[in-house]
Amino acid sequence: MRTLITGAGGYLGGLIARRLVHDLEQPVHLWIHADSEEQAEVKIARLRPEFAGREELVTWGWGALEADAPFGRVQVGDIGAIVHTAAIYRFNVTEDVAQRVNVEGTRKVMELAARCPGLDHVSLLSSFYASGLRAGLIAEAPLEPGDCEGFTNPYERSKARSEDEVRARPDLPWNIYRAGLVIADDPGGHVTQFNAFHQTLRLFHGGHLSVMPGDPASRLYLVTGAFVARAVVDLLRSRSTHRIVNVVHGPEHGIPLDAVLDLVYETFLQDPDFRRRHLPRPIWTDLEGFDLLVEGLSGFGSPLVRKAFDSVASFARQMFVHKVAVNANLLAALPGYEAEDQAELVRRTCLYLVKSRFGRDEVAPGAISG
Amino acid sequence: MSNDVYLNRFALALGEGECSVRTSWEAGRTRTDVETFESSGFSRHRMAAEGTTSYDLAYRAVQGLDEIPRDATTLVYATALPLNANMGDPGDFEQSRDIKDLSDFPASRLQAEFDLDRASVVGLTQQACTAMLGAIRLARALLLAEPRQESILCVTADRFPAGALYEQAYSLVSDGASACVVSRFPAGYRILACHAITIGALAHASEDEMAGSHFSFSHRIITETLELAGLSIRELDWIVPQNTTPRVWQILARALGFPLDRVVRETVADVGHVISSDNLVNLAALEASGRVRPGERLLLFMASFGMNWQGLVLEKV
Repeated sequence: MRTLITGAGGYLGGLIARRLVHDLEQPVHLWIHADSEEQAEVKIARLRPEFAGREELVTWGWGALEADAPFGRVQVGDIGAIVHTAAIYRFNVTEDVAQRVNVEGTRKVMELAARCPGLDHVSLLSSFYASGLRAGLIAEAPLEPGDCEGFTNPYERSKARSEDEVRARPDLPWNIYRAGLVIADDPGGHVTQFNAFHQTLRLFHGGHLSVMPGDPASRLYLVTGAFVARAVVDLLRSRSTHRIVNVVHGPEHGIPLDAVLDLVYETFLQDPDFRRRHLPRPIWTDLEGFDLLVEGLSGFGSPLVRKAFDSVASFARQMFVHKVAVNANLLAALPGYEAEDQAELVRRTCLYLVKSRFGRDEVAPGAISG
Repeated sequence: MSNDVYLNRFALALGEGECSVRTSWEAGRTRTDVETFESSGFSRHRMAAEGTTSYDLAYRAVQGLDEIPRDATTLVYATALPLNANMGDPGDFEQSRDIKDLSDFPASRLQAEFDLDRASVVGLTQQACTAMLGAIRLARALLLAEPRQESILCVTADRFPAGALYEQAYSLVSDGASACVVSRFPAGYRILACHAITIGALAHASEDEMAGSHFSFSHRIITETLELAGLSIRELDWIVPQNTTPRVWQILARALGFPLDRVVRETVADVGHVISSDNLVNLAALEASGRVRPGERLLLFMASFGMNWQGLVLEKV
């Protein structure tokens, strides 16, 4: 029986697929997003070398979650497990697109799961920030709509609603894994997948943003792609069902926003060009102040800077929320668990960003030292 | 000798012509559209009439002082634009190839026209819009360093060259000049502290980079200037700022913990950014409103190309 991975051409889906194939030698059916056969062929041709030597373990499928029957060509009799990672992960995704792709796409995955006669489990890769603006303990428990105090962006809302879609099928052996904010591939700091975190750091480095919305004491829950992939694969192997797991490090490891900024600026100062510009650390602003700034920029500034500000604005409210992550289910499922050093991770990630000029230059994995 | 130095009196001279944002937009003098400028707090600006030079504006500013400081021992003549520090015609130089035609200094002319016979002159041309604060800082330093100095006339004057955009770093610009007298005579405002920062590596910063770094550098210059004055932000009564969009102050005042209604912003709509005269334009407005009282402390600050930031703390006598 095969494990079907949706979004296998994406960042986390790809990491999970490679771990299953290379480390565990498990057969997989990799389902990638594509709107046409031609597009699928191009994507598959690009991905195929990642499974060199293990081709016999991999079959390929493709489709678009917005389509009426995205999984119509899947051989359901072969599927023993489903890992649903396909989603739009951009914070500034529109409500409409987030609903169609992330929420309704999850519903379609659950319908597919219901048609798989030999299904052992179906797992949704969710986000720790599906908890939206909820403060305090973030338990490994359902997010009841009434408990939520809203969301920072449509992405967060769509992940919460995706979880609702999963839990709406108690007849299926589901699991929900909520990943923290992925800032690097591994503890070495190499970055493949750039997101709003890196976009914000780029604004700081370029001197384009000198105010930071947020409460200096609020904590970020940062992880690496390697940690998420390893945790998800280990969780898949534990064969539990109807389990919600926060794939994050505990609150003692969560890093305050203020400490993140300290580390970012200390690391940036190792860059001679940054040092010459003597750019001060950003000043803290409340949400109203930041909203005024974004609104004030609406007619000014380059399109690039406005876009970057919109990106920061898409998660700004989250920076004021004090969350305390519970990860007991994760610890119970991961023998030999060791938390990643968050400060070192931030430092190495910043070094990578500087060295690679925010991804414009190639820097080999493992090349960041010091 | 007392270490106290005072900004005794000051005067302004703005460009004669008043233009609406729309007029200047339609004339191609701005890049930012009318709606964006108006919603950012700019309505009108002032332009010098054809034939009016920056020197003419400087002359009018000095003439506007209650009393011409005939006893001035130094004249500091500051321009934001280096080209306004030469009255010679570059066309003449092309003909003559004699650099004398590039050395017709307005400071010397002003000294002669107002019979400031005791005054030696100093030109300040590389501090951009912070130049008036730089002139006051220099005047204070001279008064503290040289016993012979008694009274120093500081002047700043700029008009944009023909064809220039009247927009800089997202602000609508006016031509204008200002003059002030700095001395040991205890009248006007006691100078409590002067401060300046230059980050040359940012000299070629784009407008986006200038705007982006504005908040943290403004916060820094204000905080450091107050430290030099031995004051906390709570002990400050007024901020007399550069004329940028008032929205900047909605953000910066919050970050500083300073009441927004104590930031003098009311001249922005009518005159926009009067180059290095903004602070004195706003100080005049504050005085005219009758709100500033003896003993109150004021912080003046500017940011500009170079990149330069300057701050000044005053106490009303």
